[in-house]
Amino acid sequence: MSTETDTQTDIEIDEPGPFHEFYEAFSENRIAVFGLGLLAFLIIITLLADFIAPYSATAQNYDAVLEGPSMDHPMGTDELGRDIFSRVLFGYRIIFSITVGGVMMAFTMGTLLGLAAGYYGGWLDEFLMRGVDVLMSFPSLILALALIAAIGPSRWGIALVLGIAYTPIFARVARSESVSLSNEAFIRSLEVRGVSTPRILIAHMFPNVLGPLIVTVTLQLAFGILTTATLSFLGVGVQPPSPSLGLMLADGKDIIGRAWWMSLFPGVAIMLPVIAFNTIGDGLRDTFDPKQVRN
Amino acid sequence: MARLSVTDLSVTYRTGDGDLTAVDRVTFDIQDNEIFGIVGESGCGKSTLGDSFLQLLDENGSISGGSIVYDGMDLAAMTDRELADEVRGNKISMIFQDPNASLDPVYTVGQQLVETITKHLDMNKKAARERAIELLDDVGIPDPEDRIDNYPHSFSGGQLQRIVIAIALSCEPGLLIADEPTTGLDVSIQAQILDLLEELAESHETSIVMITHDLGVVAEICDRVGVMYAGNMVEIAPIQQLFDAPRHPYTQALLDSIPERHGMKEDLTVIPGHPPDLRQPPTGCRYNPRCDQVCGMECETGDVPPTYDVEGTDVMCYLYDEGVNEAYEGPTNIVAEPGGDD
Amino acid sequence: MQWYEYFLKRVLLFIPIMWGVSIFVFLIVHLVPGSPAVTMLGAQATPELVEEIERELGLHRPMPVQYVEWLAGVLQGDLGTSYSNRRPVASVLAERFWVSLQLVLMTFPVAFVFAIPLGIAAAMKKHSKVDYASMGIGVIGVSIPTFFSAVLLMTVFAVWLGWLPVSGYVSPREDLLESIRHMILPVTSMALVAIAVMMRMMRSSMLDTVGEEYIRFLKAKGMSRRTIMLGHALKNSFIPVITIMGLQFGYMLSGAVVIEEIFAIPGLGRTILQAVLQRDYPLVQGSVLLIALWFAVVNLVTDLAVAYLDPRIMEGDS
Repeated sequence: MSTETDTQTDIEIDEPGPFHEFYEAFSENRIAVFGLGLLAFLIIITLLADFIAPYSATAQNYDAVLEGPSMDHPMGTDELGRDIFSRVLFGYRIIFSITVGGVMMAFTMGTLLGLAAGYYGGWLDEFLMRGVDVLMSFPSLILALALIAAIGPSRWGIALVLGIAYTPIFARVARSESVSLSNEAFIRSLEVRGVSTPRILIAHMFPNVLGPLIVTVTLQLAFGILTTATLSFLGVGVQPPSPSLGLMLADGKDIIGRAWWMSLFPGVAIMLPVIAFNTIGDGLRDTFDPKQVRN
Repeated sequence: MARLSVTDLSVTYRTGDGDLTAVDRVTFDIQDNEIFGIVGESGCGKSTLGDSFLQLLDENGSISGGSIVYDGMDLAAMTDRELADEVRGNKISMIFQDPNASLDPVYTVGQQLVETITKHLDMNKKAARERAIELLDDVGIPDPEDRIDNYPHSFSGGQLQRIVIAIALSCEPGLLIADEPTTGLDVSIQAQILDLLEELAESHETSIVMITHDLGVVAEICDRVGVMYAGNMVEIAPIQQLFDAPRHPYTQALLDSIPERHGMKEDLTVIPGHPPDLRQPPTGCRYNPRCDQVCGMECETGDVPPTYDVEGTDVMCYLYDEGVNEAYEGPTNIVAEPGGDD
Repeated sequence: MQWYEYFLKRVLLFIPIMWGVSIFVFLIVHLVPGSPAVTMLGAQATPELVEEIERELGLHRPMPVQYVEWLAGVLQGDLGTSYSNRRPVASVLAERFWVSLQLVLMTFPVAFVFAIPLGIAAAMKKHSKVDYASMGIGVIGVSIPTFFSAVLLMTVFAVWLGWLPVSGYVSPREDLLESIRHMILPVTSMALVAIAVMMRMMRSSMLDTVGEEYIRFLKAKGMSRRTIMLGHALKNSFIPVITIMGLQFGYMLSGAVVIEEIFAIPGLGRTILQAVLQRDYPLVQGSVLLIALWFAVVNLVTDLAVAYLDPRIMEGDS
């Protein structure tokens, strides 16, 4: 081997791209990769629900009431003879759309408010952050209940409630990143060159705060699914007859002695995406914060 | 007399991509009351070498061969427990790069001094506290009676490094290992800390191993210097001799990369090329891919060069082998021969 | 900074926040599309009844006036009248609050006793069976909905095995033993989440701390592993855990909504849910206000505990 090529190879090994580095670190975390696989699986079955589900989510069949799991009904049927497996699949659609909608709304509003607060500082920062403090002085489920009391229970109402309840979390993360970022030379130089403030915030600061925000998004998705399911379970979320995982469990819990499948399958179904998001979130956090990985 | 004798010491890390020998058959002595510098680029194994004396290596690292003899004890063969009770902080101390992170933030500096003193010396807390105040005074902390009850965060970086030094020297160790002790500090503070170390080494009769990438630090306080490259100690020489007549091509390149030799404050500038990946070190001399004085086949295909004594400098380079380089006329005799292949 | 100064500063910080909370709570009623009175009455809404309720809520006056009057009442302990109970909100809440407090006070020590030693053990033996087991429990614990674990526990231990009562509440003053028997399942279900969250935090905080340079320096100066781990690493890594524990203590009231509903416990959580379902706005406002106050007090105590353990906080750089 010649001296020249040796050195060349070294350079390539020594300086991989940031994405490559990230990928290496993340893929070493086998639990997180498992979470990602689980999530991919859940997304696929949700998108293909129309093809996979053997029945409609709302079709009642009085000849097949409270039947246990079988070839016809892999997860059994409920007290109206509806196929639980099909209801779980369509239930995923509803719970995912609500949670993703709510978290995206919180992500957009929270990030913008946080970036602006951190960038401008002064009274705007003070005002926005005190507002955040106020919203964060309730456990989010209580905040959600209070808002539902005002706007009434409905599918998109829940998304809105999640959006409002989670905005402060994103605002805090974005603000703390934004404060340190706005003192950086490259941001100052953009100001000197007369780049408009919205452009600085969105085109230059936003991409730089994305890393920690993605971790927050992932963990809030996990939390959002739990909250959505809980609200439905309590009867203030998705309203019947729409298939809702939380409500299915609520319906099944009183007859669990006779029909365990009515509670067990929806319960496990709720856990799966939450486990996926939590493990991915943990993996991302470890990857972005290498302090822990070192050990 | 040699206070510490390191013989054929190797340190190996287990990594996902195979074993990595970060320190490879290193041999050297440290004399009584001597300040011995170990210099090299980052990743050359100098910190690993320093960590290995007290077995403070990361979890995946271990001493894979050789001995470290201090006061008749082979430190390489001792258990963690034995080292903690008999050697660490007592006979040999170590200080690190970042004084801001070296002290436990939730205990006062006094508590951290006292716990060290009472662990190793037969003293009650009251006596230990008095000794702690004296030590703080010795390292130049003003109002030590009051400041002893302060927490680390209320001191500056330079003061913290002074306190760390006080802790390290509190039990009169015979040897202090200082791993880049001034790197984290302002330039103006660096000189003060070096002066303090030099002064204390003399008054406490302590030898110091000064691990650094900064030749300026070496020039300022070291008596002798070892230059490390890719896990090998490629040259050991008294300080003046190293600067006046560097023997190893790597040492020469290091010194050449500094604009002005004396009174230098520069870090080592980069020599073309990269240090090798120690999971697959090159055959022959490890410096050969970057060396501008490759002198024969041995350099590229042979073993790691043996150590030659060239007018008081120990150097690991085939240039000084009569068989390889006929032109060389100086006195040459082999003092140590590393055994076996790579 | 002295103790009382920090305490005062921290207490003063709550006044603007609680003021903001009061505005938010006040607005809950006024965010209702249309007339809250109509919404509350639902199908029974007759013009006369609507009129009466609107007068009772003072809805015909300008909003700032309404707010000031409402706030003045709240500050004197007058939270209005509950429509579903026909009783003063304050007295309903006073009764229910103690039930929830009992639930939380029983849950917290249970969670602590399991979470903290497990987290420490997992961190000290990284990649051991203990570590993997606790990580597994941790992920499942934060991923399982409380209502699901509660239903499972109830099914197994109350319905199938019949060891414990299915639901209901007995006051400890009436019959202490029965009270505890009734609390075992609710406490266990609620503790699961807290155990998972606190254990994960304890583990990761401990691992962070063990990687710090001062741990290496402690080792270099000859401290025993025991002294380093229990005397230094534990104290340092416990500080962030206290914050998380405080949050959990506060969050337990939202867990209480679910648990109290499932086990039919007449506490604050069940009250707020019933109030929302029945659109009993004064009761919603009162319970939300009380929970915010609870959360605030818990946060205050947490911050003081952290300041006590971490000398850096008192210097005012927090």
